[in-house]
Amino acid sequence: MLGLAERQRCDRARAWPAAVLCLALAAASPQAFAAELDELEDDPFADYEEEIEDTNDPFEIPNRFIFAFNQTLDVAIFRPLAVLYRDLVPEYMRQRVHLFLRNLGEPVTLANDMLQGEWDRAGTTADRFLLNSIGGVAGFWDVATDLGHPYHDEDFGQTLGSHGVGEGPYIVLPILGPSNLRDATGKVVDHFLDPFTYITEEQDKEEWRLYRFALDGLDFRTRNLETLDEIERDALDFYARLRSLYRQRRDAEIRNEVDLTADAGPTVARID
Amino acid sequence: MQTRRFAIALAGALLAAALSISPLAPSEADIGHPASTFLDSVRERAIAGLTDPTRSDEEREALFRNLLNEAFDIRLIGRFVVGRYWRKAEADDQEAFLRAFEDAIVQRFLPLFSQFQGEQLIIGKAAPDRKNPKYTVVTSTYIDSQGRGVKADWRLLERDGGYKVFDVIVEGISMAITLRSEYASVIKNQGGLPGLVVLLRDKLAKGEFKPAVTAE
Repeated sequence: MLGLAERQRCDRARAWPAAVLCLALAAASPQAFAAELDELEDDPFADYEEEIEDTNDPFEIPNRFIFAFNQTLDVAIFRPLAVLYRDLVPEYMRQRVHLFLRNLGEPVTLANDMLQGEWDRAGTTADRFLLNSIGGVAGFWDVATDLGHPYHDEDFGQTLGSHGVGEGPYIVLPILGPSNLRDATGKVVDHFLDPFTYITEEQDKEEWRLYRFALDGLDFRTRNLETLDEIERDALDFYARLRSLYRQRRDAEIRNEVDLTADAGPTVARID
Repeated sequence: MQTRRFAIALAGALLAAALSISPLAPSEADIGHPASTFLDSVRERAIAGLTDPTRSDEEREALFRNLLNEAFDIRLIGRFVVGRYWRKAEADDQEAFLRAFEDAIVQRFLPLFSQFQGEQLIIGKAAPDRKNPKYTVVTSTYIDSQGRGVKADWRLLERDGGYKVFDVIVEGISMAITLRSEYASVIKNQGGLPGLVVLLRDKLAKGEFKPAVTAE
């Protein structure tokens, strides 16, 4: 379901590939748009931003099913593995693994920096990749940050967002978790933007992709043991909470954290 | 990449929760704007009063509730997080919700003051929100006990000649919007506001809003 905000973003789309995808998304549901307008007019908080009001989740039932599936896997497998990894492997080693994986992701960040026309950030990413791959011994150390080139991350979902493409419906992906049509598409594109994909193919070592994926997951889950536990602990509806967090965070990332104060947050002009 | 960003999102959200009232060390506020001065004074009184070991738990809770209601517009926040369901609810249910909501905030944040370990909140500049000038946004930096800093924005509204906090936004994640979204889902699934109150009370009775460190 497309909200008002998505439509407005679509209108602002500059690049034609973005515009094409926008049209594809917009064609999905004109009725939902009309229904949403009615609902807004009926609402005492009508001047809240539409994107806050709308959960953007037309596939909530299948999404919740996949979410439950993911949770089951997490409780049975992923979380226990993360606890083992945390308890058995010293933090120093875990940090090396983390930085190595992050360095491996820099080419994709570089490609997306360039696709967004963020040339300064692209320069930073290129510098980082060279410095850390050589000076940081294949990325196990992050010497670039110390030399004044801090890390940032980009992906094709963000690139689409920066060109005005709306998020599309919320989707919970098996194992990977919260996403949306735009970001899931972005993941596929990132796979093809990644030199790692072609190197492993040429070397006939496709299984390396699986190892990297697994290690990435282990690294992520371990780094978030406390955070995820904490977020789940006092949640009344963990699914709905994560959905909202994912959406707000992606929105902030697309804006590269700039002007957060200008855009985030509700309007309560007519509340009293 | 997605997973790492999500990691950051979750960390941000947690901090958003931890920040809305948390142990704050003395610091120089960026004075000049009354909204900044106001927030800084609340911060100072919270530290002074709530980390004082000579006070009993009851005294601390009473002080916390006073400061909470002085600094935050709990009624307005409560109404906002219930969203469109507020108008459909009976007055009694609205009041019952506001009480449970405040109790949940107390259970969640008061214990943080007894774990004070030198965290700092440095209140920064205030300016009208560019998008909604009705708001004043006060910037701040939260520095945890390990010296890591996170930016947090406080969204204030003018009330009774002073200011009240309406929302805290940490790294792009709004506390009010997150709760609103979650509560909307709960109310929908429970068939009304009373259902949300039942769930809140149930979690309160089990002590599940308490931060993990003090939960045991």
